[in-house]
Amino acid sequence: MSGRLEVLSAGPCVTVQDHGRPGLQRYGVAEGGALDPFALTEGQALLGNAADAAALELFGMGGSFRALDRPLRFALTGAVMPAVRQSTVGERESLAWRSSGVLQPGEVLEIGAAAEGLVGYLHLGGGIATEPVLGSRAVHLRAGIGGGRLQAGAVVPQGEDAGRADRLTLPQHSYLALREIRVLWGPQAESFDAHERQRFLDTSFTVSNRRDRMAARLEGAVLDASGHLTGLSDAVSLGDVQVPGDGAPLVLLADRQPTGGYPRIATVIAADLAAFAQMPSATPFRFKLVERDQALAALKAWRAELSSLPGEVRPLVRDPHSIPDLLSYNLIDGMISVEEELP
Amino acid sequence: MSETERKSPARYRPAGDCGLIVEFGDTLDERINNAVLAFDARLRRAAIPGISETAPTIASVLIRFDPLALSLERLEAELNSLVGETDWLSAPPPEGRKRWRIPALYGGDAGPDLPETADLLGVSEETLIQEHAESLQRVLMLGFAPGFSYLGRLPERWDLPRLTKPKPQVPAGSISVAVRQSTFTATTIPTGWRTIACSPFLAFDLGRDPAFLLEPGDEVSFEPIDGDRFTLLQQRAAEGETVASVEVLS
Repeated sequence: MSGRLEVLSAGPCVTVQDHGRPGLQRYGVAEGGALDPFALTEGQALLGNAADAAALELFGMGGSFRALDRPLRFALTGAVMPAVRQSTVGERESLAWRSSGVLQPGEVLEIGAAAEGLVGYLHLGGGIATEPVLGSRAVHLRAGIGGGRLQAGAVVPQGEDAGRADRLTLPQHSYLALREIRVLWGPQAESFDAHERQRFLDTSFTVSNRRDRMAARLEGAVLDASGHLTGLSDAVSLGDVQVPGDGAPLVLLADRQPTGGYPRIATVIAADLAAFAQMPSATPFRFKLVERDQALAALKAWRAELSSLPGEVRPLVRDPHSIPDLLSYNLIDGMISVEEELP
Repeated sequence: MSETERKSPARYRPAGDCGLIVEFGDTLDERINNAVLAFDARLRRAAIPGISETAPTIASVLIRFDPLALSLERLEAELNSLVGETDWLSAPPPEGRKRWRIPALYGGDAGPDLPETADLLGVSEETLIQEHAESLQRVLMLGFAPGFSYLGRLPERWDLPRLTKPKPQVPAGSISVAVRQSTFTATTIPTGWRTIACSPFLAFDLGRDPAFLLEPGDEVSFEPIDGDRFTLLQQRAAEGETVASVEVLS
């Protein structure tokens, strides 16, 4: 059984995402996929979905979505966004985040701007049944693979939903509040002298509003990479902190360019990629250099937490009056795309 | 001493906790690129458990791996052993590469920078077209965008600077030149290089299996065609035909 979800309005970057399509770097395609894989997995745990199920990624801002045809099981995870269910006769009910529910045909789910974190996810029971392209449903905006941003009028097909459980919830995870992002030195760290490297670690950075699924531009320090003499492009990795000609660091994300010639001073460790992706703009944070064994311990712990998620799902017990209707305020500032390095 | 003069030319650079870069040099050089391609092919043949992906670029190979399944120490030990097998800078290029002859319409709207490029080279447009088309260029790497290939190298006098003002977009199939290389686009993208031709051949087509036709290490030359032929081949390409001739190199 499967229904459809109609997009009545959408924020500036609502896309279908799953775990992406790794393995295409040699053909010029970065792996893409959900900016916050933890939140993606949370939704799969809440709905009992398969690991490869896709969800709607809501970058900074949600939208309005109406159930068509049949009741739709759904779950909300990732950045905390105000959410309201509106019945067909106009009754409004605020919804808890990191929880699942059912949207009856004709009911509307309104999701506002991120109040905590940046990237929210709207999951459907059975996932989303858009056509996979090169093994994934993830929309890769820069590469133009898998479709584009969803806009008003779009209709999203639900996958086959064999599950029945709803009104379940997960405890909040602390990574949304992380303000110390752990890094290892990057492939070209030596292109920066000791003073610049120390300044990178000492600086209190913020993410500017120049951010998208490709990269996030930082403010707080302009770094001198004049020691980097070769401009030869090589393969860049998820979480690389690249310093382009203007000296303002860029953290490269899922839909990044696959190759680049600017030096990369550091790389965010895998366990902190979701925390960085969720870092709200204009919020001070620092990079913390760790040893490789610390990064591996963190990765091990991170994977253990991911695999324990299904066991942490609990029935949703709540007082509806404790959840205010927050949709009326807290609009995010406009976000601007990051300027690209050309070949 | 430069990297290329050392006995063991490979250098390992970190690429996060799940990646490693094996670098064979830091210049655009056929021998270095050859070492990269040969080593990448060797790595793929070795099929080391824990490695999920390798990707050759102009002078290095990126290795993605699961550090909880394959420790960095063990990976480096495996790499040391592979690096020590031969002098990679003199290794023969990997087997199974393809040689492509790709149709291209030079000049006009397809190659708006052709006259300026001929001026910069100090040759006639006819000479430029002949020299560019007949040069056997290698796919040095794919990068920047899906199916986007860097081809090289062209004769020395093609060491042209990039444009000071990039063009906002060129169509798929565009062939542009700078720094003794050509770029061959497979999607509509911006470029900072001088565009001299366009090909109806689709290096990347999601409607086709395989979606990507050019591989790192493949060799490419171009066959100049006229506008009518371009239109015809473009139609055939849209219908799924591979409009370039190809042979497998042994």
